[in-house]
Amino acid sequence: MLGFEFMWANAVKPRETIMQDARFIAAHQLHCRYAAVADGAGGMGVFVDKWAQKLVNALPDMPFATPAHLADWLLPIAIDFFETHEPEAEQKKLTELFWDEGSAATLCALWLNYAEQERTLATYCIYGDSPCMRYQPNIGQLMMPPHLSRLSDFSGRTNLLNWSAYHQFKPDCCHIHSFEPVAGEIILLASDALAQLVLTRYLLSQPDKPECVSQLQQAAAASGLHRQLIAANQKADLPDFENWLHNLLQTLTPPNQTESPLFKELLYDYYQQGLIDDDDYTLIAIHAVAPVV
Amino acid sequence: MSQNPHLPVTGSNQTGNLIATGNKLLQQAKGAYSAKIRRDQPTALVFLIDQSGSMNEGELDIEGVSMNKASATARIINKTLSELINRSTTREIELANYVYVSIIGYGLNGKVDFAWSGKLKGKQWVGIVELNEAAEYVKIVKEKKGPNGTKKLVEYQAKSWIQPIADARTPMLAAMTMATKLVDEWIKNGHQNSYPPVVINITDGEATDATNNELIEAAKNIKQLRTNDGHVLFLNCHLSDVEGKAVIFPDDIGQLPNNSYAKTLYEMSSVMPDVYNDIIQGQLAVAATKSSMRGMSFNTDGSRLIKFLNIGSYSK
Repeated sequence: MLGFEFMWANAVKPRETIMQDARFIAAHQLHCRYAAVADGAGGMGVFVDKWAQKLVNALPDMPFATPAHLADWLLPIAIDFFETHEPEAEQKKLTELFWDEGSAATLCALWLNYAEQERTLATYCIYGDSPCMRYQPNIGQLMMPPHLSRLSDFSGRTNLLNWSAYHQFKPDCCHIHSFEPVAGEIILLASDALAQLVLTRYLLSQPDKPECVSQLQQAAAASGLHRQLIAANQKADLPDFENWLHNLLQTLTPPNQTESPLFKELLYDYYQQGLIDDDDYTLIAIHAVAPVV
Repeated sequence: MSQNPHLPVTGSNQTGNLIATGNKLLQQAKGAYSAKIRRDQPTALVFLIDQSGSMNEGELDIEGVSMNKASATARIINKTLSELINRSTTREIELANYVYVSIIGYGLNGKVDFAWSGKLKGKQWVGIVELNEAAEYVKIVKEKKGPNGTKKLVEYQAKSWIQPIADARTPMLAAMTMATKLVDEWIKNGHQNSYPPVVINITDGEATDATNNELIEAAKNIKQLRTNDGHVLFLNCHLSDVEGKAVIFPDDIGQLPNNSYAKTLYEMSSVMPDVYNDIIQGQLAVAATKSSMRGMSFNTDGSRLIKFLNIGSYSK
C-alpha cells in the first residue's frame, strides 16, 4: 500500500502583507487524507482571503461525487459567510460591493481514499484555475487536468466559487476526476501563477516535442504576459525540469513543522527575474511513496 | 477512473528557433499596454463631460431608476470612481494612488473648466486617496438578493463627487484641447513608463465650437500622446436623441445609424488594443475575435454603459 508524504509552503504576493490564497491539509488519519488550495480573487468582491480560507476549512472528509454535491455543500457555507460578514461590510462602507460582487475564490481539493486490495484512489475537485498536477519522474511526464491542459488555458478570466447569488455556481465548470497514484509520483496542488511556472518550465524542457513548442507559441500569442514570462524563462539559467522541480520541492516543509523562508526567497527571486507573475504563491506537494518490503 | 491527458514526454534546431522566437516576442511585447499599474507607477484617467442644456433631457435607466442624461452621467461617473477606489485598495487594507483622475466639464456658462466640486473644487488632478477622502455620501435604497436568492431592501451609502449639470452650449473642442495639454504635461512629469492614460468623453450632441473634421483632428492630437507602454486611449460615449440600435465597441462605422455626429465620434475614438479583447468579451459578450473595435458606445443602456466605463477606467 502506498504511503503519502505531504509538504507545503506559501508566500504572499510581493509588496503585499495579506495573503489571499488559502491552503489546508488533513493527513493525520489514514482513512481521511485530503489537501486543498483556494485562490481568493482580488479583483472581485471583498473579504476574499476569508472566503478562500472558509472554503478549504469546510471541506468534507470524502470527495464530492458530482458537481451537484459540491453545490449542496456550498449553499449553507455561503449563507453562514454572508451572515457573518454583512455587519463588517456595513461598518467599512462596503455594503454595495459586498452585495453586488460577494467574495470569490478558486478551489482545488484532492482526497486520498482506500480502494479495495490496498489500492489508493485519488479524487480531485477543481473549480477555477488552481490545478492539480501529477509528475511521474520515472517517465518524465507532467499531467495537467483536462480543462487546464494547455498553458493558454490559463489566459483570460477563470470561474470562481462565490457565495453571492448574483454569481451562480456552474456545474459544467466543476471538474471532478479520479486516478490511481503510482509509486514515486508527485501530486502538486498550486495556485495559478506558480502552476503556470511549473508548466512553462516543463514545456521548455521538451524543445523536440512539437506539441510542447506549439503550446508555448499558442500561449505567447494569446497573452502579452505569457509572451514576457516565456521569453524570460527561456533566457533564465536554470537546471533541467526534474532538477528544477526538485529544488523547488526542497523549499517545502511538512505541515506540522515551522516553515522555512526558502520558498518565499526562491519565488521572490523568480519574480525579480520576471519568470513568474506578480501574485500569491501556494504549493502543496504529495509524494506517493512505495511501501518498504 | 479517468486518466488525465498528459503532455509529451524529449533538436537543437527547435531549441534555437524557440529562443529566437521568444526574443522577438519579448521585444514586441514592449509598448503593448502591459505596464503594471502600481503606486510608484500610477496611470491617469480623464473624463470630459458635456454640460450643455440638452443634457437636461432624455431618459436613461440607470440601475432601475429613470433619469435624464445629465443625472445619468453624474451617477455613472460617481459609480465608476467608486469602483476605482475599491480596486485601488490593496487587499482591503491600504488605499494607494494607483490612478490620478481629472474631470473636465464643458458647457457650464458656455465655458470649459475642471468640474470638481466641494472639497475638490479648483483641483486638476486628484489621486485616489484624496478622492476617497473627499467623497460625499448619498443614501441609496435598493432591492438586493442574498446567497439563497431571498430578496430584501438594502440601504447603503454611495460615494458622490459630481452633480448633474445641464446649462448652455457644447464647447467640446476646447475641452479636448484642454485635455490634450493636461495629459501631455502629466506624461512628461515623470510618467513616461506608466500604463497609457485614458480619456473618456460623454456627450449627447453636436459640438458648437468646431466642425466634425476639426473634432477628428483634435482627437488625433489626444491619441498621438503616448507613454513607453502605448498610446493614450480616447473613448466616446454618445447619449443621443437619434433613434438607433444600441452599439458598443463597434468594429465598423456601418454599425452606427446614419448620423454624422455618431460617425464623427466613431472616427474620434481609439481602436482598442488587443489586450482588451478578453475583458470586453467577458463583460459585454462582444466577440473577442474583432481586432478593430473602437472605444465607443452609442445609446447603450445603463448597465452596459457602466461596464463600458469600468473597462475604460481600469476598474475591471
